[in-house]
Amino acid sequence: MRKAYDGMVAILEVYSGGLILVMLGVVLVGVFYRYVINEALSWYDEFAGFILVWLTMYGSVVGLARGKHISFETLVEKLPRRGQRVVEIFGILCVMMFSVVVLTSGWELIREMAEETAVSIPEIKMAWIYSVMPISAALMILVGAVQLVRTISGKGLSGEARPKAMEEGQ
Amino acid sequence: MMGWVVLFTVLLLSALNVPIGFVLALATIVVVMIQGTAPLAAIPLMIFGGASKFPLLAIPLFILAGGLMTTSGISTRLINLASALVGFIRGGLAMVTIVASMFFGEISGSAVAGAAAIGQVVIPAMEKKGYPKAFSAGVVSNAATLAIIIPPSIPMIIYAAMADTSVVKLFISGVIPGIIGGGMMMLLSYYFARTRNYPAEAAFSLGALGRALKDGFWALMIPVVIWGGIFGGIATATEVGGLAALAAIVIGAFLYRELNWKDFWKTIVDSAMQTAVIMLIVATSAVLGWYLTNEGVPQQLAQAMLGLTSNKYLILFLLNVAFFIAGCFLHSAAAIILVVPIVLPLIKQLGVDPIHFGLMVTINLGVGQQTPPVATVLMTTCAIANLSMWEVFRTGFYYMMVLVVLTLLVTYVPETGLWLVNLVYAN
Repeated sequence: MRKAYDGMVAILEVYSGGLILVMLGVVLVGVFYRYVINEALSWYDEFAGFILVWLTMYGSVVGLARGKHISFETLVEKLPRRGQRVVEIFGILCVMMFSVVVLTSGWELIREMAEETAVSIPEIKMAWIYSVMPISAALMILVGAVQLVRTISGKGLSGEARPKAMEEGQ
Repeated sequence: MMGWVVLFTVLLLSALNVPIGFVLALATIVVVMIQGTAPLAAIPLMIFGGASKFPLLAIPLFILAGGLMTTSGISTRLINLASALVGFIRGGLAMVTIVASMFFGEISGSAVAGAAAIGQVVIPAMEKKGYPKAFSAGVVSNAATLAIIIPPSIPMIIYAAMADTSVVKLFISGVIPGIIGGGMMMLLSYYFARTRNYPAEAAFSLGALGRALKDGFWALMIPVVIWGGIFGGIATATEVGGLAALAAIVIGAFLYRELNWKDFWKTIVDSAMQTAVIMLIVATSAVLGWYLTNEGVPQQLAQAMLGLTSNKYLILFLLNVAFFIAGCFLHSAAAIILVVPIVLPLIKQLGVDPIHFGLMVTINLGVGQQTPPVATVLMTTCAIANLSMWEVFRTGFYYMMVLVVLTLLVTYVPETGLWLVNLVYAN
């Protein structure tokens, strides 16, 4: 069970790495067409924008599992152990509530947009692109459930050491 | 009324250690549920729209370029070059840190990346030479913020996307303030080196400089690619970011031959994670921003402010105070996305150039990266130096004051930033 979960997170991590590489590739192909072949690709900026959303959401699932999202730890660290655990459980429930809203309303969104296609690429149905919202939300609920079990059984958040603010973009 | 609910939810959930990216969306979900005027289905749509903007693609690409610079051996060469240039001055290693941070800032738009790349090399070296560790960390942390003033710059990219203005113009406006900031930090280091007796490095020699230049030739080609692209108006920030990442890969793999598959893949995954973390904040800030704009908060704020005073300089001062407070408690990306759309109508009414305002906001939020409790760059440096945040904050205080002075300078002497923009765009 534990192995399956760790494997899922690892796969999502590889997937996110792959997405950033594809994004780099798409931008470079776009540059090549625009400046070398002198013929701007009509689809490349819209498509690259889609990849960015996918990277954001699937990467956020991994970030959640590995405790990499930025949060304000100073106050909670001052609480006694018991209080810390209560706050931790509350935090996980908050993230799960967010995920439930994104999952249900994301599903609604897909149904409403069933016939729409991407502006620059008529072959792509927007429903496929929007699928990232409910799928990543479902994965976040899964991660939240595992963390909830671990926290209640006293194994600590994500079974790893507390994250530091190192991994972040500014 | 609902504004207070939002504020209360954000503060409460943040204090309870809920990640900020989720907090911003949750606050919106709470008020939308209470009011019931907008459908919840708008939430995923807004998150999607907040993250799928083409200009924002520059963020992952510059994060990638910055990460690849370190694994490709480019950062080390830039530090060596800085050492050959300014190491001979009293307080040599502090000078090297500042100049290296400026070089690094020409490639990466991220102060966190700069603090990590340069801090790892410089802090141990400074300790060996007898600099107090907290002092070294203070210099590294504050000098790193030059990276978001000197183009490229992630906060500038986000600002331009929010204010719908030219990223390139904003980039150009940062060049001179960045150099002034670096110069002021170097003067300050010289003063400390004199009074506290910090050593100089090896005497200046043309031979050593020549060797460092030769060894760092390819490393220097990256800023040439970036600045050439930006100043020449050839490519967009996103395209330049892609080219910079490509250049780092080519130089690291084929010219310096220091980039191997293992490090390459690790950098890719790290960059993907950093992107997701920052972009989630960007996307969910957009959700809350959409709600606040819908509620007419920008107009109300403009009215309230103009009712108080119509003095442009006073309002700019008040906005600086507001951004300073926001920067203490919010990540800079969130601060820009939430606050900029709210104050922009006011700014335009006052006749302030959005480029001028963007530069002011960027440097102001740079100060926020150094002020606890939420101080991303300071925290990164402290993790490397293994010191407490307050310790480094105290010793780095004078360097942070340089950034404060710089904020006031660009606020009240707009030409500091705009002169070069007008020069470049004159013909």
